[in-house]
Amino acid sequence: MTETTESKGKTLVKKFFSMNGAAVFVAMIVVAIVFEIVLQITHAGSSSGLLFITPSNLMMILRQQVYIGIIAFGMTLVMLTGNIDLSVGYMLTFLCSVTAKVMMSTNNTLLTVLAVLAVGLLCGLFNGVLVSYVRLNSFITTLGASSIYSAFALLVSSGTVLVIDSNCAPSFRALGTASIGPIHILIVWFVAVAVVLGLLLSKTVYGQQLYMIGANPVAARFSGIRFKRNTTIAYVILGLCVALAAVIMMANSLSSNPQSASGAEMEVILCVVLGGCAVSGGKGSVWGTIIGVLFYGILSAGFTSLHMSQYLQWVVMGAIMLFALSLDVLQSKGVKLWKRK
Amino acid sequence: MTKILENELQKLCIFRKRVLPKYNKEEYNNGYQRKSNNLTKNARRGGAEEGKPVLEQKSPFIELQDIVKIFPGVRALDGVSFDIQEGEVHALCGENGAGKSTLIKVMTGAHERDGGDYRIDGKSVHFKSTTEAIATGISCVYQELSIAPQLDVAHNLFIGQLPLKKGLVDHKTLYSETQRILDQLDMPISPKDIAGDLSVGQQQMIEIGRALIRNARCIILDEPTSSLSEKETETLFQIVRELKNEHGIAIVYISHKLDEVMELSDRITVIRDGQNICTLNTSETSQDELITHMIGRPLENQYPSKEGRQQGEVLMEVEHLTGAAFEDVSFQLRAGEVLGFFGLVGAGRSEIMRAIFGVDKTLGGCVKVDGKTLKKNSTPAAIEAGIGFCTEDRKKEGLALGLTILLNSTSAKLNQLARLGVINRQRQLEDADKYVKAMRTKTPSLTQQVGNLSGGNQQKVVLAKWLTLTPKILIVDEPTRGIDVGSKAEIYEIINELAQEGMGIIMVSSEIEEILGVCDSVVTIYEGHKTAQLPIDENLTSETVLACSIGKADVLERINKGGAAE
Repeated sequence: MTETTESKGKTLVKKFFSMNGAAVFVAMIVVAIVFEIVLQITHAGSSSGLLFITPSNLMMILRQQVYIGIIAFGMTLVMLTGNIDLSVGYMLTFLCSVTAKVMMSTNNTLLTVLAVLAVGLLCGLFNGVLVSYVRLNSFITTLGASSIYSAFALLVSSGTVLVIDSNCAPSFRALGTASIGPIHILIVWFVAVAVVLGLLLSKTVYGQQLYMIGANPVAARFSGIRFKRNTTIAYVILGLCVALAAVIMMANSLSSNPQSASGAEMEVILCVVLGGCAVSGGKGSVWGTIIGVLFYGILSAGFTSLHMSQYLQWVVMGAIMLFALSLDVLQSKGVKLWKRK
Repeated sequence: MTKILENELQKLCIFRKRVLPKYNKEEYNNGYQRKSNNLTKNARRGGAEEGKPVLEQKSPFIELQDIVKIFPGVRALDGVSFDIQEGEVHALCGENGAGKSTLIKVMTGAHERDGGDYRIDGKSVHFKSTTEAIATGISCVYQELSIAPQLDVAHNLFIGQLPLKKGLVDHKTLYSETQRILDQLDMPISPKDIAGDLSVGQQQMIEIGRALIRNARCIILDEPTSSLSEKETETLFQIVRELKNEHGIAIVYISHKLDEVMELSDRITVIRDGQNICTLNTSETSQDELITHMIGRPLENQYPSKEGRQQGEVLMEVEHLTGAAFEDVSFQLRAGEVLGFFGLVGAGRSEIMRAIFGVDKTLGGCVKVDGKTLKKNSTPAAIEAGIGFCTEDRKKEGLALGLTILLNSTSAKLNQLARLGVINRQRQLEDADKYVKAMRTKTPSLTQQVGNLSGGNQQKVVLAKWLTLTPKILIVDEPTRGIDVGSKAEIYEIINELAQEGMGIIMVSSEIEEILGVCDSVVTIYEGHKTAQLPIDENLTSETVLACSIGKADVLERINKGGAAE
């Protein structure tokens, strides 16, 4: 039958291109090797053995990406529903200030963690309700929210750098500096959030419904899926992820600067998009986002080790993100990127 | 219930064997193909020497010869030849997946052919894009409309070629020209109306208008009437005839509705499995012959026998339901009943169904299932109460095309397949597999993206999605829209079997024949009001149903006085 064979033929092509994660994974390894080669050439003779692809270097790269990664996992959920959250950068700054403030005044770890999670939840709820119940466009909503959070950060800290006393409760410090066996706790957090949200997406009703909502909101509605509630929950989960990132970030570094323009949202979105998540929704996975995070980490570590200036790095990263987005949009529109013949 | 559906599956298989015998290719080839080859040859030569002129001797305007189009792993077109004369309506018929769409895409430059020759005015052409085809005079009005809903009619019509004056848009000419074209198309709308507020039929007319503006010499109409009302269809036909007779425009007409094809076309080319089976003169053929060519074997009665259905207790009561597009609609649905809803497009049928299902807001009235009033405006509550809704527009409302069959077919049931929110993958797979198989969906696997399936198979996935819920009440809105003859008969049979098992079914349709063939009684809707409820028996004619659905006062009065239609 023509019909079956026709769809079979299409599947092969589709399959090849749906393995976005795999393609990025290969690209990541290639890029790592390229950095290695370039470094070997520039440091010719000064060192034997590997320079870039060393266990300690890779571990360091991963550790640097933990905060971004945790937020990116939450962002994956939001972007699956076809929305986005541009406010995570300033939300992170704000929540860091809250962490510092509460910790400085109470020196109580549990209270601090709960307070920050509660504020993160409220931030997520605020964004989520505006996007799904009031039906504002998510770009605009979260752009506006972003401005609010940046102001909150300044209000909470009175515009100064907050530094937590290094003699604070040891349990708080442990959240960001301890090791479980040979593994640094930051990496444990990263893996834990990935596993929880990965299972949530692939195994639960809620996760599968998110795909449905993103792929076709109308059909989801006709299937009895509570799309408003589910979308809001995705934002709340993202808010909690940002809160967690803020806590462990502060536990690790002990100081928060409310005036540092964040930019974290761009890094997060870049990671998620690199991981194969469609901005239009319905496509993506935590597994893909992990690869996206690692890829981004290798890129930025590589550029730094090549002494590329921070400004230039932003240009390159921005360009990569726009390129990845264009690929995604063109593919979803069915534009063929190779010669038609 | 599981058992019941398994039985149903078996019956379905038996049904297929009974009604649709496997066709013997050799026998077939010896029979029809030879005859049709002769016909095609005659058509090409003009056939004058046989004493049976197929058409006047004219050099064909468009000629396609042995067109081949290969997709990875499949020859979608395997040597299709046919020609189009100036000023003729040439219909293309074939089942879903026969290759019609691919052929059109080759003609309009959306695909490049892999073999064969494509000549316009005798000159071989190679279109690299649809723009080139349009410039040569070949325009296509697709099933999916390309309307900018926020813009007004005039801008939609002249999109891409707004009239200019000194480099600025000449709004005066724009609106007067639009008015002229609207008059020509007999459209009672203003050039300043917003396109998104128009009915689908009116939007389609805008697309045809667009082709006219571009000086098209050949307009391809792909399933143009699938969402048009009777009147709009009539208008379309008039316009097609006008285009053909007065402007000499060639029309390629693609439709599953064979009566339309018979009424409108001059010649018909039947395509099956990527090959042209035959080209026939419409005046010399019949619907039965066409169907035989299309499916490769004769088709017996399309509609299943209604015997064996027994109406049980009342399942659902709709009382004085009122919404934005309809008012005070009341009716009852019994177990084992197939209740038809007929009305013109835009009469409010689908809106009533959406309100019952809790998708649209209601302004008054209520829906009771098993005597219990449903929570208002809540789709989850409606599903919980046992209502399933196969929507009219499967791409927009029924399916997420980018996701798998597995997820699509179980999307309404995920909660039931899960414990503590975690889905039982095994049960999900079993469920999906059973119903997708029961529907005889043609697919290599459950992980196939729904978007890769043909229209008929997509519709089966939508049906599967609701049947996995084993609903008590199933609403099907235009279940056979855009589906080929063979799949239609299968869908009717499925509906019949479900009713026999005691499901209450509401079937919304714009085709009277279908309603009369499948339903037990029919509710007619006119401008948001229920005008009549007629039991379907031998006495009920399609004229009566139509009269009720356009609110003809005298007929309604007679019916309401004399009870059933007489």
